[in-house]
Amino acid sequence: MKKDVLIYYDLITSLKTTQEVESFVSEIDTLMFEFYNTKGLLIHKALDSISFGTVGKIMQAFLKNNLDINNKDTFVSFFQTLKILIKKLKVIKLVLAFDPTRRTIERIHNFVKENIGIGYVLDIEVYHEVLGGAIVIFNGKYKDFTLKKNLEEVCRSRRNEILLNRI
Amino acid sequence: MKDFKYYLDLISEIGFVEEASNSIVYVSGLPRVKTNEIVIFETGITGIVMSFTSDIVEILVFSKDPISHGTRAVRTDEFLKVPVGTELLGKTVNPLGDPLTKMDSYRKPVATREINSLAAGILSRKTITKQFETGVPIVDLVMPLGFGQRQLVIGDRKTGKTNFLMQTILTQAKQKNICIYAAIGKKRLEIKDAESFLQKHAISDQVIIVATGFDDPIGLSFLVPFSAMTISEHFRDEGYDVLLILDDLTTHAKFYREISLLGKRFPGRNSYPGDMFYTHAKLLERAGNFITPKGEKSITCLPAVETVQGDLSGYIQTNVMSMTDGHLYFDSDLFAKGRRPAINPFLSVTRVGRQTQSNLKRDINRELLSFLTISEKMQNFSHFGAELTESSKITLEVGEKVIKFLDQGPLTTMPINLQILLFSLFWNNILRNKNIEPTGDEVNKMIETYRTNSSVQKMIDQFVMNTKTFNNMLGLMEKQGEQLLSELK
Repeated sequence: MKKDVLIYYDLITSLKTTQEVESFVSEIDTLMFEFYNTKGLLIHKALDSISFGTVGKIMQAFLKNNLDINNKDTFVSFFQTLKILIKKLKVIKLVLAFDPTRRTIERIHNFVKENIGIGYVLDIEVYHEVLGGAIVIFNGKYKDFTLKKNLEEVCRSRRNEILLNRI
Repeated sequence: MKDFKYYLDLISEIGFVEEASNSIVYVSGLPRVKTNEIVIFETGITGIVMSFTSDIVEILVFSKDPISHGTRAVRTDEFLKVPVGTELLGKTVNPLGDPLTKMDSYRKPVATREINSLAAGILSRKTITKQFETGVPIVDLVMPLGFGQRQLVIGDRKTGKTNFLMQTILTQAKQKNICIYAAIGKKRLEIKDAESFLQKHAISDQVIIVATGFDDPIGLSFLVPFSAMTISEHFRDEGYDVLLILDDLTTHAKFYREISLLGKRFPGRNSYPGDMFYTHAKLLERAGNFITPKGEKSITCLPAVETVQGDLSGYIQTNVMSMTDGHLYFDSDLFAKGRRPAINPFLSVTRVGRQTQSNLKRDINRELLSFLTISEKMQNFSHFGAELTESSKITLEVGEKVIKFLDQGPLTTMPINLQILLFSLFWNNILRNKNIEPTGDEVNKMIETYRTNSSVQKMIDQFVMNTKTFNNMLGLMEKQGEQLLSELK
């Protein structure tokens, strides 16, 4: 990863799902809108327009990389680059049978980070009919690792055996 | 073709609709997609891949139903195939082989053939040697065609092009050849008229209509000529001579222009895409005279093209002219003067038709064409109001009668041997002296006698076959003309 991109590492890796990405982008848009509304004079007032958690993350990124948050040019270019990087995030779509907890999402995301790398977010869809396992859609590839499919396959291949046992 | 889920499990690739504009849909995903591959959407709509980049696939869909953003699509690893077989005979189908109107008796053929096959190479082609009969004297005698010829039928709208094409179908279907009529984006009424014409003449079991209405999806209309050509190739390989009529390529070009502009392709001349010529050329070069395992078989293709105010220099018009082996020009001025068919023999061309003619036919062709040229010149002179000599007056008078002889009703066709015989009789002053109009009921009666009375037909056919030159023919007419005429009546 390029050095200038490294300053966004914490912010990018904190985004785990497409929902988070959407809400984060919308907060950046609100922040930039307020920033331009105050003609760049009241950066702190602009920061008040977004959630406390997001402000914390942004402040931390500025502090950690020794960036001056009051410098208008730095402020604008920081968010412009951030939005470009967010647009480049790749989506891994997962179809699950259950609504995953925050902890499960984090575990899946960490697995992706360790095995593929950063720059990926999860798009999770809950579809109870898959019964268990997951459907993974990534880069146009479709893989069905669900319990439903396995059961269907078993029923198809061992249909006679199952019917005989029933009798 | 199987459903969406089947291909999803089989291919394991998926795409999502990103953008849709009319018949063009842009899909992300599908990493190993190929051009011309069939794609199925989860709603059941199908389409073919027009082009793709690393991010997006451009798909031409065959449905007017809207496709919403996010709809899933799957590729099939299959290319577009047209159902082919004898089941299609007598039916009106769309380019995918589905009936245009509900037909209980119709069973879609199981056999299929790829729609985008390459044209046969030079080694499997043969020189055109057999004359192709249209049943229209001005074409058969003056502008002859050959089996396997590609002859453009060009003219303004409402100048009788479709009538002529229907007459040709009628003649060919009666000779038990397969006829395929491709109606591209026509009005439903026009398609119905064509169906009724075929049923009325009891030839529908020799004809297939491949059609789309003007309100059908543009993707389907674009496929019509290709589908019709694919069906023609099937019947050619089955051992039939095939007549293929493409009505018309101007409309087809307009559909392709619409698709290309929607697909954001760079517009060229008259906003047509850069590959307009290629698209029509790759279609028309699939017609011709071929050497097949079942002998010498042909696909004779008659594409129709519309002109605007008689302008032959338009883009599509000149394109198709350069791809074909000649053209029949339907002149709106002649049409207004009452000439039927309104073919202008001086502006029409046949490049390979004359090589198929026997000596007798060639003699008649030369005689007729040179006479028409003289008569036309005389007529132009007579406009100046100059006093005409007796011989000029006779030429003009005969010219008018020749033109009358070449005129023909929209629903009649005349067998070529009868055309030769009647022309010889006429030329020998027999018909002229008897003041028998060479058109109308008398001639219709003669045609009917020729068709129904096999001994008369055999006699005339033998008579024409055994005569080597036109001079011989005229000599024979002197002796036997009266008798032949009475046999025909």
